[in-house]
Amino acid sequence: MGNMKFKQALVFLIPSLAGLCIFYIIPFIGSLYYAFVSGDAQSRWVGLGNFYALFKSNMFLIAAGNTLMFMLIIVPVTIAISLIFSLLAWNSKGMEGIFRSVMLTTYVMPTVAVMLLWTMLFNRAGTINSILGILDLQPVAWMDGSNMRWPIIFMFLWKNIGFNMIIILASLNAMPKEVYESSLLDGAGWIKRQLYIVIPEIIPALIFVAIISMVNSLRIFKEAYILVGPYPTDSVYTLQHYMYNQFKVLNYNHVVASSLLFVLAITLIVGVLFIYEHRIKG
Amino acid sequence: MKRPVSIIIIVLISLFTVSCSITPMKTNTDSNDIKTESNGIKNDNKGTTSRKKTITINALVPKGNSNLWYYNNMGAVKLPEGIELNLLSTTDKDALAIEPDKIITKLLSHSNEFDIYFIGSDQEFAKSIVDKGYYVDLLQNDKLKAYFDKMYPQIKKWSMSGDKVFGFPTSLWPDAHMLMREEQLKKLDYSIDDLKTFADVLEFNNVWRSSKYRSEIGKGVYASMNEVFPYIIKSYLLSHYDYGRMYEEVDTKEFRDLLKGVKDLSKNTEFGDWNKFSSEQNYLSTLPVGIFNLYPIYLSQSDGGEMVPAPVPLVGSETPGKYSMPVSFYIINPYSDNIDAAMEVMVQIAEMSKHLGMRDLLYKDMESYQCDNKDCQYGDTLTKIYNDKKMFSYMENFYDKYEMYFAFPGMEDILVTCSDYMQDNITLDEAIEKIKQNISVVQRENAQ
Repeated sequence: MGNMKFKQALVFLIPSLAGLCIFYIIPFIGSLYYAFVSGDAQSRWVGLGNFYALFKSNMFLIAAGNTLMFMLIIVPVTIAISLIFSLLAWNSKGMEGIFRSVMLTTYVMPTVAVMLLWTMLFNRAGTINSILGILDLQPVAWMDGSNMRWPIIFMFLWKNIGFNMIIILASLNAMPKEVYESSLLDGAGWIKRQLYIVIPEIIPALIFVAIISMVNSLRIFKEAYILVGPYPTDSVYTLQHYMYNQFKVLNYNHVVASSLLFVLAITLIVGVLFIYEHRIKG
Repeated sequence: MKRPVSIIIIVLISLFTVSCSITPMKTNTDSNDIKTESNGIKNDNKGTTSRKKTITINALVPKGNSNLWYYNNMGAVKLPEGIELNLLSTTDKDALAIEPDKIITKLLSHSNEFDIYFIGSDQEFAKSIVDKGYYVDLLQNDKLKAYFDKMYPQIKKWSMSGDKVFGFPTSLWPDAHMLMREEQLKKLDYSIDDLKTFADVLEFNNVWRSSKYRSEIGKGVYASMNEVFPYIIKSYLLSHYDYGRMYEEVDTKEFRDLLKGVKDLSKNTEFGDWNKFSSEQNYLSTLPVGIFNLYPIYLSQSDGGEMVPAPVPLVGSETPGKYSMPVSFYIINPYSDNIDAAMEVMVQIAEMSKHLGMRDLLYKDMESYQCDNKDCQYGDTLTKIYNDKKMFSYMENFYDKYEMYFAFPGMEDILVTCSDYMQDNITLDEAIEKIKQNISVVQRENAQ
């Protein structure tokens, strides 16, 4: 029976898998060769030389550190806020649709337009600093130095929480109602119901949200690029900046080597999450 | 069964994420029996049979670009027996001709889709292309060597990387230079020799603006195309650029004065509207004095009074450097299947350079080209104009005062920052900080 289901699933998966293979996997595997050759026209074999060069590169280490930092901040905060908003929406009878529509609006807005809006909010004479001025507080140079990461993180959260809410709300609506209603009859409070009844039921959805958020956080380059261009301050310099700039000076061997490390890191993290999910289900 | 599917999904998610960030590479899978070696690269030449060889040239500009008259006339060249040209940029099918990034991708993937390509030294990737050896040494061909031996030594030097010639120069233009009308200068008791420093130029601008001749002419002194001002900054940056010391160089009084001066110059200039003039000739002949960023060929078309050309004085006296003279090159793709035939086409390009006006820009003592068909008449007309206007000595003079610099990574972003400052979007301090940041990242990214 299980085998039959797998075959049925495979039929539906084949078109997507074929696209992934043709446009992503095969080109990626084809490009792996370049991680082990020199970056000049002769393409001489250098073994692990490119990886050694990467770990000696100050900017690669900064980029990797920032990418990790963005992920560590964004993933838990995104999950927490999405979950809270989803629970509020789910528990507010009749308001769920409105909640969902409002939150999803941010997700469908073009990044460029959003970034321009956020630039107006966060620049030196922007709205945020005007409000701080009204409150008799010192203005903050949001767009300078290490402060620059916060507008990007805020923007990222604001833009992506709506999508995560849709996934969590779908999971909440699919949850069996019996257990929840029993807890109501037993007199469990709202917080206890959410912590001990609802959240354990939607763990698979939360893991999926975690994976999606993590993958998105690793691709935060677009936001940083629009805000500060390809040569930002160190605080928002990510792996994609490094790859983009290395490509422009034709160091494609470094681009591929760093991509390979990137793949290994993501595979490891996603693998751990899948194992965790598997154990919970088990 | 579920475990393998989970593993597949994990890998797919990872690859999907990364594939969005990198450019797919392609490997050249052609295999042939005949191997030649050029610039350290083994080439698979497609046979020595008598069938016709098509040499594909991938330029960066579409057909009809008047600045590339040289390129557009290539179809008129008589090629050696058995060779035909495929000019990608003159066909609709090939959009990549106008997208430099795609050319880089093709080169990186060792593509043999084109045999000759075209780059300008002012494109940020140009130096990397040369440094990493994506060319065939043109000195391997004796006929081409003869052409290079007759070139102005400066131009030959600009075309070389070490002891190899990486490309054939096809067009060159000073980034910023002044054209002065002597009679206008005399009215203000000025001569071209009085404008030795950038401060002199700024002062002269004010003198002119307050003079009665301004209303007489009805134009600003430095009427020009708008982009000339960033070019003055660009020249400064290029002539001072060094990965090791640039970071300090931009935070100097000299550079701050330059930005302020150029901003002042741009704010106090009444631009001539290029669109109002029927031709470059008309435009130039109307101007009293101007700063330009033009191909030298336009200068030869001016009339209506003797014009005196001169480089814009550089800022600073301690480290004067030289103004930038960008040059465009035809380069043979080292992965071409037809390197020998591509060399023959290069010889034809060199031969064309003896007429069509380029002779006077490239060669010091090249014998005159005998025009025997209508295709070269335009070039001979230009040559006559060049002779009449003493353009030989004019360009010779420029080759000593200008230098071809390759653009450096991040240069375009620095110029955008300068432009933001000139448009009052950011303060001078903010501009300097941003430029320092830009250079700092580039320096550290490229540190060995």
